[in-house]
Amino acid sequence: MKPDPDDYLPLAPATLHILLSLAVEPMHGYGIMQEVLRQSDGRYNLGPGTLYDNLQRLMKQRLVEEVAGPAAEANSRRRYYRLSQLGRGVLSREIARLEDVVHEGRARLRALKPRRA
Amino acid sequence: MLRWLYIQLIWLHPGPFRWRFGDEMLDDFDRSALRARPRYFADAVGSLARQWLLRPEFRPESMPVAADAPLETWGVPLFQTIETYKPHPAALVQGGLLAILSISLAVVLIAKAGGVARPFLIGTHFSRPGLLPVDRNSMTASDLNTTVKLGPDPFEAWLKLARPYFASMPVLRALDADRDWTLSPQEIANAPAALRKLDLNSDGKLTPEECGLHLDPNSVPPALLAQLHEHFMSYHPVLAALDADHDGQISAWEIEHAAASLKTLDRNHDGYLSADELIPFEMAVYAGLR
Repeated sequence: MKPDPDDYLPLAPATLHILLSLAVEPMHGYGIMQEVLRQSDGRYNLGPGTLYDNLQRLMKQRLVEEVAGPAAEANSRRRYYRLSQLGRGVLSREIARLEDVVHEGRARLRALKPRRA
Repeated sequence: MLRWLYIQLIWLHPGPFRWRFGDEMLDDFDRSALRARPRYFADAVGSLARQWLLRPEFRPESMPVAADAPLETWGVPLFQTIETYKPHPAALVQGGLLAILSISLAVVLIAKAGGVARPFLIGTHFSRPGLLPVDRNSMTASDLNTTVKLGPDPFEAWLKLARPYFASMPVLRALDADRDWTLSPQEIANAPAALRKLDLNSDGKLTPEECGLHLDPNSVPPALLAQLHEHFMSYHPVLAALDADHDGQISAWEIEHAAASLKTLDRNHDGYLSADELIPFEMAVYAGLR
C-alpha cells in the first residue's frame, strides 16, 4: 500500500530542516549541517550524531535515499543523500500545514489588537 | 588526541550505525573547526546514548546471557570478545557520565595548556602591513626544473591489510574468484552461487562457523555462543551486509539476494567493492588507514 504523507506529520524541527536542505539538490552530511546552520541563521547547529541518527531513520522510512556523488569525489568518505518522492510529498504537506498554522496565528493575533474607540 | 577520543566514541556506537555512518562522522569531525570540537564530543556522547537506549530497531537484538553462565572463553579468539555487546543500561549511563567528565577534563587541560590552535598566515592575495615586501625586480628567470616525486600509492596500504584479511575470511575468498582483493560487478552478481559452495551441511543457509568463525560450539555456553555469533556477523561489513535481518546467519533468502546486499557496501558507487569498503572500520583505524 502506498504510504500516506500525512502519517509522518508533524515533523520534528531537525527532520524538517534536513528535508528542507535536501529539497534543492543531493547533499553530503557535512553540507546538510552547513545548510541547516544557514537556514536557521546560525541558531540550529546540528551535530553529526544527531544528523546521522535522523538520516538513519529517514532512510528507513524511505523519505531520504542515498545517491552516487560527483565523480570527483569517488574516493571520498562522503556519501550523498536526496529526497525521495515520498519525502518530497511529506515536506510539501508539512509546509502547507505550517502555512495554515501561521495563517491561523496571525488571524488570532489581529483579533487581540486593541482597537481605537 | 582529540581525534583518537572521537574515534573511540564512534567505536562505542552499535555496529550497524558505526559501520554505516562512522566514516562520515569522522570525516565531519576532521572538517570541523577546533573551537567546534567540544560540541562534536557532546553530540557524539548524546548520539551514543540515543543509539543504545532509544534505537533498538537499528541494531541486532542480543541474546540474553544466563546469569550463571561461566565467563571463561577458552579457545575463543580474542578479537571476538573485546567488544562488550549491549551492556547493561546502568553501565551505559555510568560510562556516559565518565566519558563526559573525561572529555571535559581533557578539553579544559588542553585549553589551559595553550593547546588551542593559533591562526597563522600561509598566503594572501592582498598586501598587508607586517608582510615582507617582495622585490620582483630581484627575481631572475630560470628554467622550470622542478622534479615532482610521487609518494607510494595509498591504496597499497589497504592491499597489505586486505591480503591477510581476505585469506582469513572464507566468504571473501569464495566471492573474490580472481584473487585481486576486489569484488568486481561480475563477482558480485555471482555471489549467490559462490556463497552456496560454503554451505557445507547443505541446509540452505550459512552459519557463522561456515562463514569463518573458528569456535567449538560445545566449549561455550549457548547464550554466550549466540552473542559471539552476532558479534562475528556484525563486525565484518561483508557479513553484516549479507545478514540483512541481523539474526546471526545468512538465510537462503539472503543468499538469493546477496548481490543486492553487497551493493550497499559500494560507498563510491563505482560498481566494485575494494578493500577500503570491505575491511572493518576498527581494523582500518588500528592500522592507521582511517
